[in-house]
Amino acid sequence: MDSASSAGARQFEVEGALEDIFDFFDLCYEKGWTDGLPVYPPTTRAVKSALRFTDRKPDDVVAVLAPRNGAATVEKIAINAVMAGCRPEYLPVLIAAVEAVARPEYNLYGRQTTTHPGAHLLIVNGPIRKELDVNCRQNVFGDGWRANATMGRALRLILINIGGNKPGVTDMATHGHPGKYSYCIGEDEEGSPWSPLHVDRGLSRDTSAVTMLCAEPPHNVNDQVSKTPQMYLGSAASTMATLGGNGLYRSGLRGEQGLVVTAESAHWLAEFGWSKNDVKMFLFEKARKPVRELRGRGGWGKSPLPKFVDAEDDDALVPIVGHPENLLVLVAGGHQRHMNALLTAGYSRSITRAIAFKDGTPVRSTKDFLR
Amino acid sequence: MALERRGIPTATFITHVFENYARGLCRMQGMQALPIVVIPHPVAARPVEELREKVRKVHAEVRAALTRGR
Repeated sequence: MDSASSAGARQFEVEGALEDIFDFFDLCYEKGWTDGLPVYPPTTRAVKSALRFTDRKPDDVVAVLAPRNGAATVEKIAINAVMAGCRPEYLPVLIAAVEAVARPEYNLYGRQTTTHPGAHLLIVNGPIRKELDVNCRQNVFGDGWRANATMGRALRLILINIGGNKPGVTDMATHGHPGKYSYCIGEDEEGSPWSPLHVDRGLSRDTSAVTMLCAEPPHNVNDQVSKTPQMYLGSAASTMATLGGNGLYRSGLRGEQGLVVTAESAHWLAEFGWSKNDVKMFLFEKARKPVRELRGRGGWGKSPLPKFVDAEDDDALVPIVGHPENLLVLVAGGHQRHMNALLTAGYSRSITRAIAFKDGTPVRSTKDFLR
Repeated sequence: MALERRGIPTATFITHVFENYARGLCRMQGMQALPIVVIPHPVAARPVEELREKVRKVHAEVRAALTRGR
């Protein structure tokens, strides 16, 4: 077995029995190159196979990743993708994800080094979801799909090995969360009555895209019996405006909060005439707490509140974001009326990037790279 | 680090459990010389007198950091 070469990636050869693979796992773990789980050996053949799915050169620098300011070359992204267990054709998704997290508005330096439990949720939109078999429905945040399991994991390995993320050393997350192993979903566009996320952000439906959102673990909202959208979404609003969340205390700063509803719930809301924007407006108005409950606890007094909130007024209601546009509403998940709140620390904006050729032209399929 | 890069002297307070982390990040950012003032952990929600005592002990360090090159 020999590992990938050139552009700063060191090459070494290993000979021996197949069982020696266990020594390779041990070596990678001891070197701090893993998330704690076994990794695939990034052999020259495996890395070259992934590199077919890009029109960039192996040593092209896609982005510089904080806090180490490591240069994420195409080859290094491919090496981490192989280590994570990705199929070769997942590479263009990871290149777009790396571009996204490196945008200044995403604030990767802060998100990589904070005590807050944030993981980088990779949301996939467009036709590529079907092509790569990205799960959008049952158990969407859970296990069982290679694309979800390994693309999210690859991004974590990229942040470890290129960005210098190391728990307890550069990453001071007090508790972290399980999504730091992998955090990747697809949006259930076929099941949604509304426009998908990437279309809301100006891309066409037949463009595939990645949106990166630094988020806490999903928090379930179980409402089986509400008969009106107001009651049903009121349950979500209550979960989102929790006293321990960052949103209520930091809504004067940039930041987003999210809600994931199933196709079943989205269609039920649409039957009442509710658009996605109506859902956002409702959550913006109802996911609030009065100043009297917030004063002197949580993150009170550390960050500005929105200008329209009078912090001296006990009865003034404080929202979780400064503007309804900063609420993300996604359609994903299986059957039934569960929802999931995707709360964030703030100090960051989600970024959407098209999956594209180097010149920015979106690809229709990963096979476009093979022509 | 951003302020120091703009030539504004700073003193960065850090509690001792974050010391290695802070120095590591400074190294990664090429800012090894950033003056870091270490005080004992914890500080959040501690009595004011306890905090005053912690800060009093590092007063000279803070002064030195902020008056470098003067």
